[in-house]
Amino acid sequence: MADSERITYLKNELKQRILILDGAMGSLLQTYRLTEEDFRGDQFADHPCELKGYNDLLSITQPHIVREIHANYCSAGADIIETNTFTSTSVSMADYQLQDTAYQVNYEAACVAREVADKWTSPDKPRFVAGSMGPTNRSCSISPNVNDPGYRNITFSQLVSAYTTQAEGLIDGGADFLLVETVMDTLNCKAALFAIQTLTEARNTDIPIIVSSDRSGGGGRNLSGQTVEAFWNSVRHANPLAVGLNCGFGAQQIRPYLAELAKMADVPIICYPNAGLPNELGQYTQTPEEMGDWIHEFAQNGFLNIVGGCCGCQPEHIETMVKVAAGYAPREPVPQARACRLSGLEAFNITSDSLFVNVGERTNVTGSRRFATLIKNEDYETALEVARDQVENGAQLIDINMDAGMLDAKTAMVKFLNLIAAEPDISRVPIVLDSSRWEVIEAGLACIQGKGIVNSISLKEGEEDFLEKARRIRQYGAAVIVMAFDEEGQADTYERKVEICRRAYRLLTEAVGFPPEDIIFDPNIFAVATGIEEHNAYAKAFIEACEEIKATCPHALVSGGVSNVSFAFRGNDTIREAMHAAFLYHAINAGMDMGIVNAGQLAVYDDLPKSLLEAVEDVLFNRQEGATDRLVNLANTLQRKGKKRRVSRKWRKSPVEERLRHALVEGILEYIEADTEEARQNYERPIHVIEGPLMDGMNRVGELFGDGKMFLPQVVKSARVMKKAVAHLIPYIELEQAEGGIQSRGKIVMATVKGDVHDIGKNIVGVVLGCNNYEVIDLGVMVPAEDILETARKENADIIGLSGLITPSLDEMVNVAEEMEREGFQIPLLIGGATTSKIHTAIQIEPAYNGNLTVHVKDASRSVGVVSDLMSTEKQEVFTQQTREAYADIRERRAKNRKQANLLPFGVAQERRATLDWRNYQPPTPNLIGTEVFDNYPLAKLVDYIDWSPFFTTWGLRGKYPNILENPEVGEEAQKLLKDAETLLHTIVEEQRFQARAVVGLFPANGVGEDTEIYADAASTETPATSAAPT
Amino acid sequence: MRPNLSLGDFIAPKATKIQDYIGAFAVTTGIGVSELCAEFEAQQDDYNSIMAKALADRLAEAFAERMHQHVRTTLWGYTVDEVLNNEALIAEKYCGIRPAPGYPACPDHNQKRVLFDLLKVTENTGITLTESLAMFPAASVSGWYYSHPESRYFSIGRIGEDQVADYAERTGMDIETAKRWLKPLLR
Repeated sequence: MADSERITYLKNELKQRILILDGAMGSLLQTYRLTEEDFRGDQFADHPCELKGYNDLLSITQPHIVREIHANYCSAGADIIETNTFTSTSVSMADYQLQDTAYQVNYEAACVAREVADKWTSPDKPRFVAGSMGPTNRSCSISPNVNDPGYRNITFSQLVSAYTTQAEGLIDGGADFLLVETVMDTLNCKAALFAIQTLTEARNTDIPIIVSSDRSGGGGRNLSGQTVEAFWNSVRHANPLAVGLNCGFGAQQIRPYLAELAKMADVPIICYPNAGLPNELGQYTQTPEEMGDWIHEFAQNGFLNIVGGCCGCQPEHIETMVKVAAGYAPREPVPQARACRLSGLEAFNITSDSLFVNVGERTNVTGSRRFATLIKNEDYETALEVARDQVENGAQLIDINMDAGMLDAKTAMVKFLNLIAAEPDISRVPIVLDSSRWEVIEAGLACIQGKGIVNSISLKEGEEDFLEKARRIRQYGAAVIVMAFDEEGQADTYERKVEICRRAYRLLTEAVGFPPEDIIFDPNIFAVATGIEEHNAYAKAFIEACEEIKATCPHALVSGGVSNVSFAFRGNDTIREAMHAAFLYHAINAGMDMGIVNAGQLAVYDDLPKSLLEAVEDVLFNRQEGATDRLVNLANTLQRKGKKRRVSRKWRKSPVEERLRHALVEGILEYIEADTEEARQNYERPIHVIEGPLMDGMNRVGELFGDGKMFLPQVVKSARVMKKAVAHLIPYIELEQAEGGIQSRGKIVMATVKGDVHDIGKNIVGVVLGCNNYEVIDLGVMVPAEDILETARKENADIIGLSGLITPSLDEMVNVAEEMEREGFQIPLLIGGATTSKIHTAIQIEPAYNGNLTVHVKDASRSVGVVSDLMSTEKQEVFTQQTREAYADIRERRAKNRKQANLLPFGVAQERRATLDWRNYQPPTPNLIGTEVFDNYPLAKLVDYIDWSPFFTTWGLRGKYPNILENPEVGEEAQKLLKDAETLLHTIVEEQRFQARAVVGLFPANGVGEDTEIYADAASTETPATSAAPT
Repeated sequence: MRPNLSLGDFIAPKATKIQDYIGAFAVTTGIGVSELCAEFEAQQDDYNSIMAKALADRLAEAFAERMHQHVRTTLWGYTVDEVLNNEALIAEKYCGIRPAPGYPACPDHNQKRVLFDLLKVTENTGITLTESLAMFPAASVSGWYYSHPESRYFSIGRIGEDQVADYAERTGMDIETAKRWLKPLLR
């Protein structure tokens, strides 16, 4: 049978029956008990390193054995045999210094398999050869170094090169199709697919591909963290002959994921599990009958097109499968509706039913000054927070752009993407790679395992360039945004927008075969009302073009950057927000699918005042002469009003309730006592003032803080206003002898644990919680466990919160948890402070206390969310359960990692010490030997030495001083905070409120191993001091 | 290959017969803080109370920075002509380090006891140690001075049982005590 006939036959057979793949190769090779000599054979007799254990080499040195195993599987009834090449890439072979023989090993292995397959082929039962391509021993998406999550020990292009050689050898040796199997890291898999496609294009041939993934990453994910659907979305661009699951698990464990895949794969499914789970000795012991029962069940449910075995499966297993499968019809692939199917770690499908898709835009250096500064200063940690916040706040895709003059965009893009890959909270969503430079786009494509979007390409440089890039993008398996831009320039009219998009659509679908659902048009949103006549039609042109493009380019999507439209009104948020709301409303009705929208800059269409909406729509639709002028005038009045409000004392004229609320939200102390007194006289009882206007104001503060519209220092200032007001009312309340205060939302006992004195963070948490109407009982610092527990019991507290800064406090927190357990407490325990962490809490503290949840609270801004979840009857259960599961997960992962992590023996570490060149070094002799005391050192002399950056961190404002003062988000608040700090600092220094004291000493010393001996004078007693040696 | 660092590496070994030196310091700007905070709290002014504590912390760090400079340029005097602005000081552009017990390069807080004895810290400054070896008042900093141009900050990281045993032996602690103090490194 000729090659092409065999493939046609294979495709037909797949429709007729369940085909059988063979079983394990390695497990069988082991039974031959081959020696080092056997592995070496003649060709590698003089090879410089040990080769025993490298099974793939046996296709060359012991081909008769490999042949025998293939024949055994054919005899058992397998339709497909796999080449002995699972680890035959130059990457994996480097372990055996065999990287240069990669082609030969693959070629010979394919020849051996071909020979056996041909021998067993009969007219009614042809046998096929699958060229096995394994995952390699390195991962393109995962750092091998836990301390450096952005690091990689292999790149996409290195993998492409290795897989190309492997595919060449396999194809030349006679493989019928290539099996990219046991996919642990989808990015590695994409490199293999990329290599195969490039190779077959260059050779002008076509070879089918089957892709099969491992699921051993936990929770049904592969090692790089993708769900089944995300994986399928990431690889379906390769148009595989079949997709499936293998290895990692036995049939029983694979079943749920197989069922999931069966629901969504529109191609045949392959499944070849291990023979159960390995026992303690690493052996697979599931019998052919046991496994057969599962295959029976799979086939019955219609999950299978190809079935076989992985680790531990022998010819007997395959024989059973042949019998079982013969009784069932194969699965019929499920056709899937056309949709833009993207993925990060999770799938994200844009179907015809999808609502407007919101693209996060804060990780864009051209759009966010803050992000640009973070990247420029290489503050990647905070930059990651920006990405995380966006995803948490509902961005369904994140747009990443590093195109700034000062940056090496390519390096920054790669670094950021690699870091994101280590953050499942962020990388769960698909990524939009945004750059005007192709090399940046391509570098980005080589870093993302999911199916992302390229933003953007256009016809600007002509058709050839456009098609070339589109083909490339398709090879990487991404969707694409096409700008309405051609050789003539950017499309600004309706006609040009439609014309260019249609032309691009035709080219992409016809010349490249680009799936129309993966094409996203950006027909350019430009600013209107700029004062230039022809700009007035821009918004209308976009909306109308949108409708026409959707009608004439089936399945394609439309996107755009919405904030451009209002650019002429920079600085006037009321107008801008109204314009965005109105524009989006109409564009979405016209078919716009997705876009970059700053959710914070968006009004609700229905809430817009009629006059404003009319003026805005007149401008957007260019429907009246002079519309622009009218909106500009309106803008001016709104603007003036806005400005006036900020400087005027107008709020003083409003009713007292309003004034109290205003003072609380703005943190103004000036009038609070007078206003509170006025309110007291208006109300029947003083307590009503607290329950009414004051609580209203504080609730508003809580809301604004929760929404990220107020920062910690503002909240603390608001709390100060509240306390003043309450303090004014207390004597009247007492006079009235009314019972208790107002009903609080819950009572929290907080303390810095025994032995620790640091309490700034805890105090801020206390204030923030107080602000949100929780009653906080703060026991201060150095509080023993028994005092905390006694207070909690006496006060009938709802929650206990512990804080600490130094490492020994971690142990003390465990102690408190154990005491709570011993005394049968049943209330939640919160853990916070600089050295505490989620990991420590999960591993050390949570297991010690079973009475209720133990939860780590990262910072003051999270405290309210956690406490309110814990106090809410609806949320409490879910929150508790989720936290417990997350912590259990951490413990499990930790236990796993622990086994893997290798520490150098201390003796070896000691030998690998840093040896300084003492022979050519003369240590400087101090002018002082002994100590010197500085009493009452002038504070004024210290002011210039202050490092302000940590001060802002203390107050929850992130960024480096002095740049933070210019930060667009927190800059204004940072300036106010610094001003308040300087005022107080001035008082402290002037009035000498603090005393500065120091002692310093210098002593002769010498090293003895890791110890340092310190001598009181040049030849005196020994005091071994600092030690704790290296790892 | 990256060496496995110990602070001990930065001091000339006894066997070289070269006389080397080490420095130590303890500073505080925390005296008076609790009184000022109490005044603010009496006026329901948490904002300024927290502010005062945050400023005291900053002043203590500034004091440590100033003392280190004084030691480099005068008391030890190995970089007499050093001219660095505050930005450069914050960026640690100078020669030498001042690692603190309880932090990554010398994670055992117990070394504070050695340091406190050596400098008679409590007698000289009023700073005391709690049972967990936190310094009181909180706005205090202590540490060692190393002058070698190649000395730098590093992190001990995770350690094994063998290293704990060795450490316990060298410091005269029993092994369980050593384990308790070094627990964060053993995880």
